[in-house]
This record gives sequence, structure tokens and C-alpha cells, in this order.
Amino acid sequence: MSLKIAIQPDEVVHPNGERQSFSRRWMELAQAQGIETFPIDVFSKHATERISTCNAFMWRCPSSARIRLFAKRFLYAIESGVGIPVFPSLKSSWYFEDKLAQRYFFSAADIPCARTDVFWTREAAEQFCESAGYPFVLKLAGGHQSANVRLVRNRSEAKFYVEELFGHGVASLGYRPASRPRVLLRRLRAAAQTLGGHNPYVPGADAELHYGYFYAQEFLPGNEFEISVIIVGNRAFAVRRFIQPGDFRTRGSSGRMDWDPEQIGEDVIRLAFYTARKLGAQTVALDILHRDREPVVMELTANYASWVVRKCPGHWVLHGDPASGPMEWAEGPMHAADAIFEDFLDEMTNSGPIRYHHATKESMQG
Amino acid sequence: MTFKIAIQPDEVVHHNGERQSFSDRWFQLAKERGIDAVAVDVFSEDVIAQIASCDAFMWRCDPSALPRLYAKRLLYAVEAGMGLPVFPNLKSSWHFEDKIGQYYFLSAAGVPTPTTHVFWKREQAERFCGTAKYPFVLKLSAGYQASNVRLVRNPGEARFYIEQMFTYGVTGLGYRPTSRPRQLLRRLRAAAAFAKGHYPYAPTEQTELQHGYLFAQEFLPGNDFDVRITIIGNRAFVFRRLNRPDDFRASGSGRIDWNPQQVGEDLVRFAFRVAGKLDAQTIAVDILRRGPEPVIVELTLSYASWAVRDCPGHWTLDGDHETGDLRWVDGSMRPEDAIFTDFVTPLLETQQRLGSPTHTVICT
Repeated sequence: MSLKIAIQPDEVVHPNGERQSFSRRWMELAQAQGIETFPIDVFSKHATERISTCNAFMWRCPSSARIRLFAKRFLYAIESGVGIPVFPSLKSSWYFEDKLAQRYFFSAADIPCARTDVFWTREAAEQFCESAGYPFVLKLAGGHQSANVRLVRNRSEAKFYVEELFGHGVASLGYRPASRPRVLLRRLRAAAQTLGGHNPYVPGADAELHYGYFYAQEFLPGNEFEISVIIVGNRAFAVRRFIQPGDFRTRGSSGRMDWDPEQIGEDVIRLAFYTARKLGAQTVALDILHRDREPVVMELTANYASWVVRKCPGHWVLHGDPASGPMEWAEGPMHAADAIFEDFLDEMTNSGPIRYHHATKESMQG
Repeated sequence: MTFKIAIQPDEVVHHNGERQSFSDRWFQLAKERGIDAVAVDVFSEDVIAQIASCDAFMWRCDPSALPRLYAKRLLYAVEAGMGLPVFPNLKSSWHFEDKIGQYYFLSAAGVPTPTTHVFWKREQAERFCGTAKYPFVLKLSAGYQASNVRLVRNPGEARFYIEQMFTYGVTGLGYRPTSRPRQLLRRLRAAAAFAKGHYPYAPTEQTELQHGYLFAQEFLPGNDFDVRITIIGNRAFVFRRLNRPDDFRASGSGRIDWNPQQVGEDLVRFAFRVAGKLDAQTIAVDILRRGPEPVIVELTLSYASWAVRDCPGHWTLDGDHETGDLRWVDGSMRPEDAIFTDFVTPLLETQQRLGSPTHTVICT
């Protein structure tokens, strides 16, 4: 009996015009290997039943809030409830768009990171504002855009954000500290929206409400670029993203980038492998800055842009332990979707006896 | 080397006046067994360092929004990042106060539930209102109180809640459908509050803002009670919760019947099946009947200790949930004791095997 993989179709068009679809590539690869694939609509009524007739499930899910909040539950429900290999697995996705979880994980796993304070009460956050070193970086837990990161320069700015996060909650850090008349104007606008039957602070479908925490991170000056290392299994792909002039942030995958592997230190690659190993993730992308000469992990991402990986001239392959295992350089570009699929097939065939009973049930019904 | 457990203190006083603290009891049990227990403060800055000096971590966390949303992250960070045993572990807590996650899990596991619809788009929810069978039960995904559950009787009421869930978002289902003038009055009041710099729709420490989905569940008439089965390891504690007078909800009614004769063995095996699929350290399941068939309505992690303790005995399962031996054990048992025993026994055994000199006679 042949293997059957349920795949949720995905498609993204990046700002640079690159069209990306992991599912399409996975279906091609499966076909080439004689593996049956089964497109799924995860939002359909019978999605779980349909998936349970397959041997595995794959979904490269987008990061917008509503889909992500659905996907996190759905993926793990399949992994634990049906008991089949899932991409991304829980270990690869639990931290997805959740910098709070990542911060506790870094600290628990002893992974070098920027000093980060998280406060869960207004009082604690206010106290911090009194004694903090300025500037510091304020972040929201989720949000892949730079609108969710701010450099806070002084105490009054900090207090404005404390009010935002413990008062009404925010979907992004779009509003800036403002003068008293402007604050009053904002209030009146909120009142008018309320009269019209809206909640001025309810987030849209692409965002979620951030409320009741304050995430403050040490500002690391002197970094001209950030290194993104994308780990897929025992492979590491790396790229440098340059910080925008006059800003402290990069422009994600829209700004200036450089794929020269000579510019990436081995210590950075090993740190990325160590982190991925600790997570037990199938794949993860890490943003790394330097504090003086030491590389520190800033953030983890599950859904990196595929073209950034494909433009790498080659990748590192780790054998053995991240701290001391030999690393070799594999020349030539590779699709992230291909690497993920290759590893996932291994996982499917090595994860003990393949479950056939659901498939049998289906063929009996059919 | 002394075995050391980090414990976060917890305390709840229930509506009936029962004071509950799992941590107090765990400290006491640890002392009796010669285990070093250390109180940690999860909200302190160096919490990770506090836990890192221990061999395990326990936190009976409250279902309120703030501690829960934090606990889910901290517990798994410790479990995955440090590799320490934690209570509750991820398999026991990922569905905590998340009825949507529970529904997908039960459905994926092939466990019978009331027919449930989760809509993520307003248009779909509105279409459903046109064709739905009334009454149906509307639930919020998070929320442990009966105020987060409503019986929706007609399309007008359903549209009111859709408006709430997809426009304002809610922290509870407290507001009822009402006349147009009253709705306008509510808006006016909210607008006045905004103008004064208050946030009438804001979440609180207890409740998060819920919006952008509609969770609708089939109403099952003829159920005057639900059966609550609390599984801890291979033990099952059973009781029935009678509905509140003139209400369809049993949750929180406080009217409990502990007579084990009233709960069939089939239900006990059913509950073990769900706990087994989850692979949870502990879980309470609420069971109703659809005609003759038992269905799981909800999973609860933070159940009240006293109702379990007052069971006259419990079942133990030896082997598989379908065929294993079910044995009745007479006598009351506190759930916190059962949890603690299950948690420390394998740790102590491992330590004994490794030949730590100070721990040769602790496990009794």
C-alpha cells in the first residue's frame, strides 16, 4: 500500500514579486517518488476526518493572526489526536510568533540572547520604567512586521506604552506618544467609533490584541546587520540583512541583503544548530545580532521566505553535536521546501510502523 | 545530592468556602518523603534561575487569563528548554481553557462530541444562523464559568452574538440580546467611557478578549446532569453534577451526587480512552448523552479539589482502556496527593537506579 500525505495548499506573493508555494513543490516531489498526495481544506467541516485517512499531514501556514491561532490548535490536534507525523510538528511551531514564549525558552535552554525583561503587571512595568536604561527596545509578542517593535528613548515614552498595553491593549505599536491635545483627540475618535458600533481597539483578522504584558529588550548598538540562519534538519542556510540607515531595524526580506557565506562566523552557525536541536524543530529561522563579539539570538521564525534560502550559494551540513561536530559546506542552491520534504519523508518512514488502519477503513468504505 | 522540586504556591477559595492549595499539600508530602521542595515566584525576574537549581517544577495554575497565558509559556519553556519534568506538562496543558483546541483534538481522535461548528469568518457564521437548528449552545473558547455559555434560541439572538464576536469582541457573554434602543444606550455609555479615557471593551487580568470566531454546539436535551470524570494517572474519580434549577448547565451548580453506582463502567472506560489519547498527567472530562451515546463536552485541567476528594472511592485501570481490569478502591483521596505520587515516583525511581546515596528509602 502506498503512502498518502494530506497537504494544505499555500501560496504567498512576497513584496519583491516572488511567488511561493510549498504545497505545490511538495506535491511535485511526492509525485516524483510515487507518493500519493491529498489536498485538504483545513477550514472545511470534515478536514480532520479526511486527514485521518492519510499517513501524514503538511501545512506551511501563513503568519496572520487568525489563521495562525487556528493552525496551532489544528496541527497539534492532528499530531496528538490522529497520531501521525505533522509538518510543522508541535516542537517546530509552539513558539511561532510568540516572543514571550521564546524569551522563556532561551533563558531555560541557556541560549545567549539579548537581555529581556517581561512584566505581567502594570505596577512592575511602571517600576521598570523608573529605573530602566534608555533606550530599550519594546516588542509585541507577535507580529512579523517592524510596526511591532519600537525604540523607547525615555521614561515618558515608556509610560505611554505601559498605558497602551495595560489599558486597552494594542494590535500594533502604530500609535506614538503624543501631546495632551492629541491624546484627547484620540479618545474622542474612539468614542465616535464606539457610537458607530465598533470597538476601536479590536484587532483585524491579520492581528491579535496584545494586552497585559510589557516586553522590554536591551538595545544592542553597533550592529550593522542581522544574520538570519535558517535550519532545516542538519542543514544551515545563512544570509545577512543590513540595518536600515537611521533605524535600528532591518526591513525584513525587503532591504539590502548579502549571501556571502565567508561573512558568517562558524560560531553563529553552531549557535543556530544548538538552538534548533534544543527545540527539536524540523525547521526554524533565527535572527542573530552581536553583543560585542558574542552572537545572541533575537528571535525565532517558523515561516521564513523561501526565496531567501534558495538564493544561498550553498549550505552547511552538521554531523553530530552542534558544539563540536564536523561541519561541511555543500555547494549549490537548494529549495527549503525540498529539504523539508526530504526530512519529513525520513520522519514518516522512521517513526515506527506506518499507520494503515485509517487508510484501510477508507478503502473499505470506498 | 538531594532531590529538589520547585513549586509555585497556589491558593483558591471556592464559592462554597473551601480553601484549596495544591502547593501547601505538595510541600507537606515532599517533607514526608524526604524530598526538598522549594517555593519559587514565577513572576520574579530570576524565575528561570530559581527553577534551574531544581530537578522538577510544579505549578497548579489558575484558569484566569493572565496567569494561564503566562503559565502555558513558562511551563513548556522549562520542559523543552531545561528538559525538566513539569506539572502540568505540555500534553496535559496545551488544551487548557481552549474549547476550540479541545474540539479539534476530540474530532481528530475520533472521540464522540456534540455536533460542533467553529466558524472563522463572519459570512460563514451568518449563513449558519439561517440554517441552524435552534436552540444551539454558544460558547466562548476560554472561560471556565457558565457565563461563557449561552443557549441561543433563534436567528435574531444568533445575529446579536455574531455581531458581538466579530465586531467588538467580548470578554464574557454577559450582555444579552436586547432591543435596539437599549443597544444604542449601551453604545452611548461605552462612548462616554472612552471619552473619559476608560476602556469599556478592554480585557482584564481574568479574561482575554475573544473575537473573530463563533463556536456553536448542538444542544442535547434530556440531560438533567453531566458526568464529571477526573482522571489522574490510572485512577478515575466519578460524580454527577445536577443542572442548576431551570437551567441547561451543570457546570458550577455545586449540586453534586457522588454515588458511584450512578456512573456506568462504560463511561469510566470512555474517560480513560480520552486521557490516554491526550497522554495527560491529569484531566477531567464532562460527559453528556446524545440519546444513548455518551459524548464528551469539555476537558478541564484546573478542576476543584474538594469535589474529587469527596468521592467515596475511585476506580483504577490496569491495562488497556477497552479490556483492562477496572477495580474499585474504597476511601477518599485528594487529587493533589495522587498527582504528587504520580509525579515523584518515576523521578525517585530514576534517582535510586542512578544510586544516589541519600535517596534509598524514600519511596514508600
